[in-house]
Amino acid sequence: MSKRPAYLKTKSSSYWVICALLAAIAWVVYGIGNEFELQYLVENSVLKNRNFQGKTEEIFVPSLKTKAYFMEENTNPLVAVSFLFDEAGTAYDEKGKEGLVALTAATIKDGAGEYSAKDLKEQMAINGIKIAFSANKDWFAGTLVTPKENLPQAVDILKNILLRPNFENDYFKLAKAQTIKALKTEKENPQKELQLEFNKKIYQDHPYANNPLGSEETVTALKRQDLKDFVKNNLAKENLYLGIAGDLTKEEAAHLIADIFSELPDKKQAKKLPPLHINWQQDPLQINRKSGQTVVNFAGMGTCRKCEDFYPLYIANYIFGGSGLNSKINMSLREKEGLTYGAYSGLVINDKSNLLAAGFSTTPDNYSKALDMFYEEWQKIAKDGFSEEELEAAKNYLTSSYNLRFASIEGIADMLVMMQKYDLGLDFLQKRNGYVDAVTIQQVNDAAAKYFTKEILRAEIGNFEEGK
Amino acid sequence: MLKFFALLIALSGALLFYEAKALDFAMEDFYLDNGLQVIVVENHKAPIVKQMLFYKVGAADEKAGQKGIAHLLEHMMFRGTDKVKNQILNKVLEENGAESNAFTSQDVTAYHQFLDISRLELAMFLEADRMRGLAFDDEAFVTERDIVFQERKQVIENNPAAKFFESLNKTLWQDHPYGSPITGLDSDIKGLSVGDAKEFYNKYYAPNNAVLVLAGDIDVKTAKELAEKYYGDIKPSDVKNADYPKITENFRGRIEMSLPDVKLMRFVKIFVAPSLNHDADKVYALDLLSQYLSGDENAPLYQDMVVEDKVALNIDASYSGVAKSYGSFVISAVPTGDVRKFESELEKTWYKALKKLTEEKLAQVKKKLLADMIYLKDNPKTLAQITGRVAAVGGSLEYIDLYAEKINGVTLDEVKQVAEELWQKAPQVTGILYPEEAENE
Repeated sequence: MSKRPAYLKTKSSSYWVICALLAAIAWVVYGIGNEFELQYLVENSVLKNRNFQGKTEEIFVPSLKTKAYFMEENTNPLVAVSFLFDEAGTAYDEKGKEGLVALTAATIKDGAGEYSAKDLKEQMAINGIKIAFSANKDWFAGTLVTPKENLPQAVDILKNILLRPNFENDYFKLAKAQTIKALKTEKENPQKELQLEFNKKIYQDHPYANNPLGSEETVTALKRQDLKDFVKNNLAKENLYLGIAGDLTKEEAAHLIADIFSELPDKKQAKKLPPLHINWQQDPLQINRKSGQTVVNFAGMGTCRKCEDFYPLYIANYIFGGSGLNSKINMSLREKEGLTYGAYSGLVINDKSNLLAAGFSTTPDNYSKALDMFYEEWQKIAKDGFSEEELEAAKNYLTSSYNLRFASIEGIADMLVMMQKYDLGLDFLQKRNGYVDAVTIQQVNDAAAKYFTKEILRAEIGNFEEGK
Repeated sequence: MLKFFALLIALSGALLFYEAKALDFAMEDFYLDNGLQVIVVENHKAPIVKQMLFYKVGAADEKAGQKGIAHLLEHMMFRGTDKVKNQILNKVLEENGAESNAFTSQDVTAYHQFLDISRLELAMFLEADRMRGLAFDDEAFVTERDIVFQERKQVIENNPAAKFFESLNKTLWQDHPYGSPITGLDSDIKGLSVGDAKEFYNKYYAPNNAVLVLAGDIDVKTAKELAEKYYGDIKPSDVKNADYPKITENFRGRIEMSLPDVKLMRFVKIFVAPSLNHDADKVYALDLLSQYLSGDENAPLYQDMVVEDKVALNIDASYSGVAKSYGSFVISAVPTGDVRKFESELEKTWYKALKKLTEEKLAQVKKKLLADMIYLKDNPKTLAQITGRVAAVGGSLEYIDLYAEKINGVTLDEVKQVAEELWQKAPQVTGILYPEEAENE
């Protein structure tokens, strides 16, 4: 249409080529410049080169026959004690008494020694004393956090709870009724229902398969004496891990834990879990249920905390689905396609099993596509592994987020306990970033090839009937 | 010497006790010339910091037909700017060890990062950059709209209790914007356009409509320099505060519904209540009222109705007065049997408890409420969240600094009066959610 002279046309096309080239160069330079500028902000920050000063110290209290880890942190007049009784978790519930450990955790503060349940809770509330108990499959644990000035009352209360819990009858009956209701509410949530059913499939007849809350039948049958017996037989010195953090000296911390824990029995009742063999060759479990979204969970073999390939697999998982929005699985399912609000993967570490778990949820119309994409990404990891850049990025995250673990004294005390439970050593905090940095691309790709296999179990819940 | 002090404290009365409790939260705020309010909370425990940027705009500011746009824009804020493109923001923050996220409420939209102090300047650069420079890519918008749709399905529709609360809010708040869900409605979400998001962004995302909080290992002087350096050049805009409609006085609504998958009966009563912006002097009495009625298991609602009369398996009352418009007071319970009986018991318990509230009892309640304030100084994230929220709805730091003093000044009559006003006069809605099959208990 235009009457453009031939020479201009020629000039024009080369002009566009040059433009495109310039744009590409500019894009690359800008990209680098952009990254450079951003990293420059870190390297030249007026706030750089600060380190957390806390030091992990070991305390040995002869009367406790156990060591404890301690960290002085005196910014605020607060004290935290974290304690964990190993091999006393919900999987240790006897047959017919399932739910016992969880019910104990829920009711252990309902009266102790001379304190009525009411007195005990009143004293805690008035003095700002926080005592909480919890249980998982393997252990029974608790924390105490208190203003330093109220430490004497806090010690007295916690000591009575651990040694002389009363499980007052009114509260005990109420807690049983609440547990039975909670068992019903679990079924309101498709994700929860799926998780419970999936556990049965993964763990089969092993106690790990049990609902931690028990069943209506077993909870109804539990007696106060059962809970008292559990406490007497399982909260002992030999299976106790302790972490103390806060505004104390090492000597004060030693006195503190001696005061609270030295009257515990030395030994716990011997009780072992049977070994666990997971059958990785099972068909997917499909549960039909009307729901807005279909929920899909996966489980494959994982590795243990002290195993040699822990850090390589930890990093592989992080890149695949452990890092939030930037993970591979979220980039493809969520950020590119908008198929889900979120997909994830993570390591599940227990004493008797180690899993690499994953999952996502999506509306029924997206289900097939999302599932295909998930498997595609999963298999790509095993086959192609990761790039050096991906490894570098993961290491950067893991090392530069290191100090965030010191945000609260309760968090510090809990961490000190975990360091002992997993035998990571007194110098773990100094060494941890080194462990991460030492991981090679070969190790990560080996871990990916070994664990991101086709042998993963799948379970899903949703509206599968519709549309058939 | 130490023993002497201990004795002195033990012998002296409540007065000394409270004085000993006066806490220094090490907070300060200042304004940049462009109107940005900056709050600094010093906490030097570890070399870490929480940056939160609160915009004083939320779902309540959305126009009809655009419900959900505030939240969808929040998602778009992670997609890229003219300078920092292609979701590099997420990648860079992550590689620098940050926990980064955002949330939208009826009143505010907040973006936050928790990270090593050495990375704070980077986070400030990125946050300031997306205050004005957001790129609105059509394709990204459509994807985020799909994600938000999935989010709503996951969070609300797979959760019957959440659906129940949506119905209650709709009834209670009527034409007031607090009645619409923050995630928007399915019908609205699908119809939202990139233009809607852009309009909302241009109108509300500006320094003079925002509050920046830096909580952690930083001093005020450095904070001032950095805030000026990264946020100082951003131009303010012309933002007007919304006028929220008044709620009909004495309104009483009631909803009874049953939903599939519900296994357990729920009872909920929501009252429209004073806030920092409506009858502000009453918020302290209301905090004490909720602490007294339901602060712990010894409180009257739980003791009388759950432990003794056994008409409920659980009950809880909570009050929130940190709001731009009205506050709310919510009672939620799991009744055991006949819900009518439960309801009449609730009213009786409410009044019986007020009758039993003496000066002495109130002093205990005050102690309990204030005993936990020391924990605000522990994790820097806690005060970052609270100070930002308070400031973003128009409150001042005095709310926290003078909180203990104000609480100690509340009289018995004031607590009784706010309780009476709530029950008798406040707009309120009562809701019962029945299980799909009636239980015989």
